[in-house]
Amino acid sequence: MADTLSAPPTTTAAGPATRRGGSRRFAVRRVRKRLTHLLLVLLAVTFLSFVVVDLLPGDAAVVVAGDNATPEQVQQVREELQLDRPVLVRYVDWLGGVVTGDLGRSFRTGQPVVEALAQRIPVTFEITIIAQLLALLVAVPLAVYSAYRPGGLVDRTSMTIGFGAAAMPTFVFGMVLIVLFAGGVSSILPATGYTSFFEDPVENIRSIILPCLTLMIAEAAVYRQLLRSDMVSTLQEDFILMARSKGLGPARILFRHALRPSSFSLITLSGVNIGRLLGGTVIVETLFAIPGLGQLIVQAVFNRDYMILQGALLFVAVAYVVINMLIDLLYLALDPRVRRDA
Amino acid sequence: MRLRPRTSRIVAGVALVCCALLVGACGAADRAAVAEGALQERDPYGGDLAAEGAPKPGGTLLLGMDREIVSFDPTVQNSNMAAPAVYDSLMKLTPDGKAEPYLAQSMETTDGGTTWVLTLRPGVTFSDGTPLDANAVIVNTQRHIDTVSSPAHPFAERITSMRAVDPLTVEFVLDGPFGDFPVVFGQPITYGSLGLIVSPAALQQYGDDIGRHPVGAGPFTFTEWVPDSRTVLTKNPSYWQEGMPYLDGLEFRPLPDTETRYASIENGDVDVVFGGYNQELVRASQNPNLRIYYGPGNAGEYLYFNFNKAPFDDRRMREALISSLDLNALAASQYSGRLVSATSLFTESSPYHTAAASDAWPRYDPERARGLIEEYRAGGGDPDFTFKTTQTRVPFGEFLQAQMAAVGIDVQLQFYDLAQYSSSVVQSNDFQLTTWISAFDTPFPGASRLLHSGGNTNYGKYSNPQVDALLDEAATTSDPAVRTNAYQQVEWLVGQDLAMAWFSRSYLSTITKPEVKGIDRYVSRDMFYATTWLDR
Repeated sequence: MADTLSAPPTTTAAGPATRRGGSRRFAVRRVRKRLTHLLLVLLAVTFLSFVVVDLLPGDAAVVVAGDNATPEQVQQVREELQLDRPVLVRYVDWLGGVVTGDLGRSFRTGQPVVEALAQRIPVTFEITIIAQLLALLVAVPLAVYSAYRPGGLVDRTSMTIGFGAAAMPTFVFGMVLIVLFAGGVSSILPATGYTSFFEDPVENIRSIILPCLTLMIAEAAVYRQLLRSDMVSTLQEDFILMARSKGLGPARILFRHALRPSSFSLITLSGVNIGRLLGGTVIVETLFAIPGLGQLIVQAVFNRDYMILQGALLFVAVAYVVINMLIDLLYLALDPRVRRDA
Repeated sequence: MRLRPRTSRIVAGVALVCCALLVGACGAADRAAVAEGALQERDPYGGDLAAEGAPKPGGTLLLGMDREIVSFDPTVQNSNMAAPAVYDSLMKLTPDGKAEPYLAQSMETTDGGTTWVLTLRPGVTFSDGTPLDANAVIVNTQRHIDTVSSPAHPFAERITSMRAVDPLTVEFVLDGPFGDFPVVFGQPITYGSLGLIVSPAALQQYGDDIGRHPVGAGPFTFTEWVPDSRTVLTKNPSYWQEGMPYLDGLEFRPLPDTETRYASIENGDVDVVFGGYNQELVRASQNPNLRIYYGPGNAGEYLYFNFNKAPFDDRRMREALISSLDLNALAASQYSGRLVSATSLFTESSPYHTAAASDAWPRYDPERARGLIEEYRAGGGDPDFTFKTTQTRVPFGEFLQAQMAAVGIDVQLQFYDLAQYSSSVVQSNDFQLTTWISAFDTPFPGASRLLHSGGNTNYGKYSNPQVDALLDEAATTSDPAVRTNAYQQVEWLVGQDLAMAWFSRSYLSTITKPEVKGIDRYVSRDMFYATTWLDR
């Protein structure tokens, strides 16, 4: 899926300014191109996953029928799930369903896949987005200050803690948090479970604090490091010198002049991370028993629940491409020079 | 990147703090495990309801399950801890391995086990208001007969005819005498139960989707199921037992990870957890703020020998393997010193167990094992083998490998994920030795499934005509003495044959906060929730 990733735009020397209408047309063209891309990527991803999943050792019918099943019982389940038909026929069938909005039903529970996704996506989305925001909230000020005073106390301390945090496996950090806040040292937060925001906002916040902290720590460390080094090089550019010689204060220079052009790598990476985390928060979700998308995918793999797996992968692929498309458009907003590219 | 001395000191400091936290977390578990000796049975069938005082009404009980519900449809294979709350059960298992009426009024045979008359309680209705009558039982039983994949199909299949004698009486005629037929109406859903009755009106309305919209006559009615998140049940106001249930509702949450499941009960996130492993039971038994319910049960954790493949088709090699396993070492390294060892099919407190069977079981004796292996080698056999198991049993695999190396056998280890293990190893009989956990409440059908030629969990294809005949006799007879004797002989014979390598009982437990009262359970953990109440 490398071709769906937005590479940070290369900026060329400033040319004549484009008209506003031109930039809108350009954005539209870009979106259209991306959408065509999206379709191809989705076809490739879903077909590949369908085939690969089919090649996985382990028979879905056996899993659904259970360990106590007789061969006749397994055979009946296989026929009910239509697993006796060739994989290509099943794929075309499934694709036909997707076009009409029907993603099929779970092999195990019979739950419609669309319903399962609708239950899981908001949960993972909430955790992912909040963890990302927290990570940025921590990383950006630290990075800006570290770039402003490289080698200073803030820079060195945040780098050290950051390396430590990034080197520690997520689940270890999660367990440390459980010991500290949920049953070991203190018992102020729930160790497991998830409450919907619409059901009980306070419980919702309480239930996502530990998972979000677990997720954000390594991200924050990487973001700080990335933004800091980009910022350090930006601060050496002529326009900063210019701003400084005009007598602007450090805060204005750092946040108004330096941050924007330094944030391309950061935005690219956080976009990729959101896409990745949507399907990849499984460790955190399992540890804290949170019913998110990552858990759904892993459970589906273990249970050979192909329909759930296909639906979830389809969503992750769509989300990945869409997020990267949004980031692509964000470049246009952030840096006028990009609008003339391509 | 080069770190300056000062920075690296900070790194070391941070690392040290992290390590200290980790060690602290592990240390707690170690301290809890200092006590010696096997875990003791504790209230295996639930609490003493009379001694726990007058039940207080109200409250919602939060329960953590070790696996998610698959379906509420009794014809679908799964172990659903919430199903008995929605349906109740026509019969209920007793500690001596029989069944007594529960939701049903009586179940009697008139002719030594071929014809059975089931009488229902008058006035019992499903939560949708329709009556639980003879017709409802017939409709539900017919579903098990028609659905080949139903876990209860093999039992239902034996019914040749059934009819409603009157609105509250069903007469079943079987293809032959079947003294244990009532057990099938009371056993856990995992083994296939005919005793979980779904409202025929709901079946009509939801069809195949009944598994997600259950309607029964149990103490609680179904409210909501968000898979992998929670299942919510609400008090059934028209429940047949006067004044019950005491609780306003139940909420089941899947907590598949053993560590976090235990953290949840310790932290108070849930009121009850269903434990599956030694480690959580050991920790809970040391915690004064938790109450445990545990009975070792029959069978337990054991190894399957494959009787179709060398080297374990040879009794000498089976004995060699059992004699070379040092259970004390296993207990110390993997069971916190609290292994409940198993040397027989049935647990010690079972009426079907005899001390003779345990006495005849091979003891740890590596010298004898070496001798047997030498003998086997001399006869041209190759004693080396491959041990196949799931990814969660890696430490056990390594233990086995080390123990066998000590007696000169080279063991290859192969680990699989659960789905692959089920289909490519167990169901396809492609192994020499593998491991399993299964505890059963009643000798029927547990022992038959495990040991009868063609039994559906007899994965090693053990076959002894004498054992088959005894198992058939025990299931057929209505005479308790004949039955007991037959099972005692079965236990003795499979011990002599070394049909499986028993090594540990299972650790299926119910762990609760102390304020949870009125627990009513099977050793295999299935619960009845009408009597449960919260003392808060």
